[in-house]
Amino acid sequence: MKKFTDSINEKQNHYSGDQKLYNEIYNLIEETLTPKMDGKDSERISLIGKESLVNELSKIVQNEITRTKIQILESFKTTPNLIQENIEVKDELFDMVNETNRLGKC
Amino acid sequence: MKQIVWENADELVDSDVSEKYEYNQIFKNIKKINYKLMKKFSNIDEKKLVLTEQKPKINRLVDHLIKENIQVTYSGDVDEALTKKLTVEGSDKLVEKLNTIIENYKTATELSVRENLKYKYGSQLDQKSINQEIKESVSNIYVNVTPFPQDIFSAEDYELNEDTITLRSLKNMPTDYMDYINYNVASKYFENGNNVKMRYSNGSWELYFENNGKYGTTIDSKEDKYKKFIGENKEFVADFLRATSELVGTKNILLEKKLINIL
Repeated sequence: MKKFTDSINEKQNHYSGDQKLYNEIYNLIEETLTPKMDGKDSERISLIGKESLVNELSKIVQNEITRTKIQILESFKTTPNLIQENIEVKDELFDMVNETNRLGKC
Repeated sequence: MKQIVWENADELVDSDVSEKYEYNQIFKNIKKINYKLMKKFSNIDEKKLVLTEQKPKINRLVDHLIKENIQVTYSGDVDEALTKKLTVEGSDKLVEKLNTIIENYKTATELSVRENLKYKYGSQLDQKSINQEIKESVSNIYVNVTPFPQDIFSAEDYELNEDTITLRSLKNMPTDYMDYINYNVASKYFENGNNVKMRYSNGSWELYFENNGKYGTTIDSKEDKYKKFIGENKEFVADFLRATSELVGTKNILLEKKLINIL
């Protein structure tokens, strides 16, 4: 059952397996952006340039990741007590990430 | 030299014909100045209005990126392609889902940062090690994405006039960006009463640096200290140019043609 799911996921991946973010954004573009002719769907029109858009959008996400990292580090810097609390909060976050991943797979 | 006191100006106008003419001219000029000021202020208000009515930053950025990168291809009659309008829809939905992805990554990043600090430093975690981590992180930011003016500059720090944008200080710049530029050199430049100006001239924005109260383009200048400033803060200057061009919605010819060559 697991292998079957994996093979379906592989078919959906436009990029290699280790480029998770790129694949997520590519699928997002496929799902949301549609070409229109006079506001209507048409089989005769299609989109090109998705890869370069993926590239640009992934830069936005990467920058947000870096900003988040800096914000957390700065919060540690300004509130030294946070260092003590790190272990408990980390466990809560671990559960949140697991839950997000589980929902994403459903 | 006569000193004109504002309250008695009407009496002075009636006192003598030649003086009357002279003061009429003065009043005309004052009116002109007032008109110019009003025009400038109304112009600023219009620009502020345009900025406030715009979509949120990420929506504008994604719309821009779609326009820049995505094309619609068509196969069929040329006549039909010419008469019908081809568009791309769904950018708002894309932004909505992209925000979800960003939020998920933020949560995961928070976890990984905390884990990293715990296992890398353990009880040895101190200010110095956090500073080192911040330094490493800021070197990755602002490299790939053009920042918006409000990302870098506070409205208190710069002034937008009819044809000039003046950056007066870096006081409200976010700390992560401060670390990214050579902040000590740049802030010293501003602390000494200098500023950086952009002036709109002949269809393009030009960068001006103050030199003893006079402004001049430093791009072709042989004065080393200005080239040194640009050289040491090239990312900052380039971002300032990008950001200000974005602010006024004008393509920055200087950035494309001149500055890139000298940096």
